[in-house]
Amino acid sequence: MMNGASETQDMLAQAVEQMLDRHPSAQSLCEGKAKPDLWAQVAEIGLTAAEFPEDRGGLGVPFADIVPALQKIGRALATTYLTEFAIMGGWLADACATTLTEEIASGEARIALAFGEQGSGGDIGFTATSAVQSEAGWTIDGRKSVVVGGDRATHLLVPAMIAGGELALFLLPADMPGLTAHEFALYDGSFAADFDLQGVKAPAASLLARGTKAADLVEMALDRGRAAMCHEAVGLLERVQEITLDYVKMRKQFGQAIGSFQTMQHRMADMYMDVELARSCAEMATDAIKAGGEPDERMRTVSAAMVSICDYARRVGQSAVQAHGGIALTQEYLVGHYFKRLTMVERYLGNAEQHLERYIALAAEPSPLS
Amino acid sequence: MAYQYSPAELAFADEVRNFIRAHLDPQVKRKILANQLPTRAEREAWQKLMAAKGWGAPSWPVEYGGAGWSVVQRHLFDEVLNEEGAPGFPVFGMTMLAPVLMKFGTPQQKSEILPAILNMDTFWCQGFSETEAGSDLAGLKTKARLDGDQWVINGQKIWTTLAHEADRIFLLVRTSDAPKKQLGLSILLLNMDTPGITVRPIITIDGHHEVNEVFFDDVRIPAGSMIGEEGMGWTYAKYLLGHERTSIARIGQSRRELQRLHATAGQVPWRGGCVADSGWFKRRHAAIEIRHKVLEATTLRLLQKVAAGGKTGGEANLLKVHGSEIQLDIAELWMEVVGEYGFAYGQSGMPAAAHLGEVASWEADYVSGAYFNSRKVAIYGGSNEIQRNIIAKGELGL
Repeated sequence: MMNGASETQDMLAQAVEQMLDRHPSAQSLCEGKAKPDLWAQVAEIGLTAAEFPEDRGGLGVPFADIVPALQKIGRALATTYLTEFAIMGGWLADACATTLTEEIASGEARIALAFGEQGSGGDIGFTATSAVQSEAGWTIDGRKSVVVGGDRATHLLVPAMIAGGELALFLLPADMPGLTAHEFALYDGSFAADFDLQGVKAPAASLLARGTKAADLVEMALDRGRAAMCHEAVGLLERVQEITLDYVKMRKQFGQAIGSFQTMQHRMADMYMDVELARSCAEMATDAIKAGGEPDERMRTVSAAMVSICDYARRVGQSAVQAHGGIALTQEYLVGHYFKRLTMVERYLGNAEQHLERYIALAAEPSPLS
Repeated sequence: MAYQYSPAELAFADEVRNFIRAHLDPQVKRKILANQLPTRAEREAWQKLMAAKGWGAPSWPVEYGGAGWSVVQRHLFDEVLNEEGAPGFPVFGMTMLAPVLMKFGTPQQKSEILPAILNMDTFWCQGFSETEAGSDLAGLKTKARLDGDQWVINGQKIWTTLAHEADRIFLLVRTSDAPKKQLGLSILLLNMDTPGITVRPIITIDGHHEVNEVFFDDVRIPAGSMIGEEGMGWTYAKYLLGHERTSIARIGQSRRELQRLHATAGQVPWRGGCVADSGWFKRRHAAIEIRHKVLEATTLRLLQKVAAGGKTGGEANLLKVHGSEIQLDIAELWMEVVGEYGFAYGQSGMPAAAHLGEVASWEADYVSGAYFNSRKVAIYGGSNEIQRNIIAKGELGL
């Protein structure tokens, strides 16, 4: 029987928790203020470098021991861009043997994976951005949508189609000529950008990978992001459950706490069950990444976790608002801000429908006891 | 990190599977798959075989004939049994009465009763629910009063599963009118052939006879036929009902049914192809399969906690609620798969074979009955509403 949280995992989570206490996020939202971007702080703790092997300036901590720290980030409703710049972008750049590893580890390089395109339905196979080979390298044209953290990224990882319908992955500095960012704020207090690529002249060395290798790496990076987000969701859900439980015990109507009414008790019991099931999903998704083996099996398991997490995120978020009544819809009260972040989690790296489709498309013959 | 079975645990599961495959009568398996109860003789033969193998009551302490397995082995064993369509254990005696006897019974009760449960020489039924005491069990009215050295019992029980086959019954009765209704209850042990007991069948909407009403009319039994102390019945009953744990999620059975659904759907024609290739089937099947996967991971998480000596709280109630909901969704999807042939009722030998293929027509014949019958899973063992009440009170402090 293999079990439990490792010491490193606890240590990282604890360091993150202490950092989050020093930089409160949720309270800022209630006061109508911007919340801090805590990327530099997570870098200082070493989370950005933790996964890299020691000979590349990292700590050699396994993925499974890093992502539980995201639960703390979820609980605090903090914006760190850890998922974007480290777990997806940083990892992907490093996996393609860029020379940026040190800068990623130090937090200096903020590398965003610009995977989204309007109309692609979250499938990189439908990437319309194109790259045409020339003597000097590549000319890239297209548009990338809603790159979370894109407004503050130092580099972009850009999937583009090359001749023969082959996918290629480019690494571009964000200030490259021909690359225009259109920045905007998101409803959870974080920021994103759309990018126009117009005749971007990319040197030959900016091509990191192509063909199935590129596609597999991008899918892996996205699945890593999803597993991380499952952990963040656990933190968010846990906290929403606590806030709502406190509220129904305290709030009185008809001369008694509303938590004494059975309809509210059953709502809270359902919420408890969803949160417990979400913990299992986070473990499932993380294990799939760690196993590293068969990509189809990994994608299938991650999608199963995401279908479920999206469901819990919607149900618990909506239910918490309903249990509170009008107060939940005010800026000054906490729970509405959690509802907003959960609503983003529900759609960010593929929604429930997309993941159900992917799960079905990868259908294996059902196996006996795994 | 989620729980991973060790190679030794997987080898153990294989051993169990191979044994079952070598010994399970295909006719009995067919009945189980068709949601029909094997006969008492068939169940008894199977239980005796398991007992002889040393697997007759795995959850019991070794001194009483238990297998001495880890919680994970016990879970795997249940899983494989369910997957393979083997008859279940005689649960009323084995997982309800026996643990209470072991903890509160006299040495004589233990030595007389436990071996007979293990070998299924005695088949027990459970007399708890009454017409006015379902979810509110403590409100039960069946009374026993002491008359010299005998208890005299009057009253009525309902939903008594297999009372018509049982040799004995353990009965929750009111033995005093204590001011708090939970305090006046005791558990008595009776032979079903005691004069004054009448069993009346209840035929359920699937046409089967599984449950009964049992009437007690001046039934006299020796004063010593009680478990533990008078007035402690509620405590014992709660102890007894708490002994179901993870098996209630029916993970193995649902996995088996998901696989069979898929296989059958591949044989049922649908718009030029088969049901298994239709969008609606794929989505519904996948959605249930995913919930099943998550519940399985949750079961393993709970086992991990138990194995580490942790106390479980609302997780067991979660397994009951979600496990039963998955079973219900599977029963519903079966109905969609067989389509209008599901309208046929009972073992009618309907002419479906020509249109559905042999396997699917066999299934069409019982699917509706299984669906109607399946609704019980959200009702028995503490209805899903009661499970939510328990979570709210016990886990959340509401």
